[in-house]
Amino acid sequence: MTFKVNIQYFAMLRDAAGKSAEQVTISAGETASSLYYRLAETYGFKLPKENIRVAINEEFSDFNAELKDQDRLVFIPPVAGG
Amino acid sequence: MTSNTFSVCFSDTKISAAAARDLFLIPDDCGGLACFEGIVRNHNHGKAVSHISYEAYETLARKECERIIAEVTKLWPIKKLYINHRIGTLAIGDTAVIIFAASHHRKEAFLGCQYVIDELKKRVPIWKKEFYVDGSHDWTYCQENHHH
Repeated sequence: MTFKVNIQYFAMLRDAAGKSAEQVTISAGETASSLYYRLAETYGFKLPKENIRVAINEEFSDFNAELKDQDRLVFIPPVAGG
Repeated sequence: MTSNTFSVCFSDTKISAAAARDLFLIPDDCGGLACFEGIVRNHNHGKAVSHISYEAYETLARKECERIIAEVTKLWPIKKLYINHRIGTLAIGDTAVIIFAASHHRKEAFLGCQYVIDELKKRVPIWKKEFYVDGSHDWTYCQENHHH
């Protein structure tokens, strides 16, 4: 069974992906972690997973979280506000 | 957050601490106001900076600022707080962030204000791109967040 998740890219991840958002097909049981590895390979993300956080549906979440259909994901590179 | 007491803003045009201060009415029971302004400086890591830009994941940035406000008001009796962070392009000397913290006494106001900016820098999903005089540009990392 496949689902779709919606990803928003910011900062250097957006630069690498060449887009600010996309919808991606995932398989049941896929985690944010495995999805990140897939995208990192596709787009050549230079940031290792250890250096980013993940937000799912507008909340900080866990890379081991199992993704659900229509989840909204943002991978968050090291922040630099202030 | 748009209540008068605890206010979080992201502004895509120039902000002024003086103008914000005029609108920030101090509650009658507060005797101390601590203000922080983060300002764009002309250098970073030995490189000359020409200008910068900020972007934010705004929904989560707002939530995280609100969490920081909830924490700081539990730590100290901060009665009123204002956070305003720029997004978009900024010139050297522009104000990047304004924080006002009002409390009964100065000790808590200072501590609260510092807590808010320190936590904002570590946690809030805002990113800064620096453009250098030599034509290059780079995404910057807050030193405390740099894990390498």
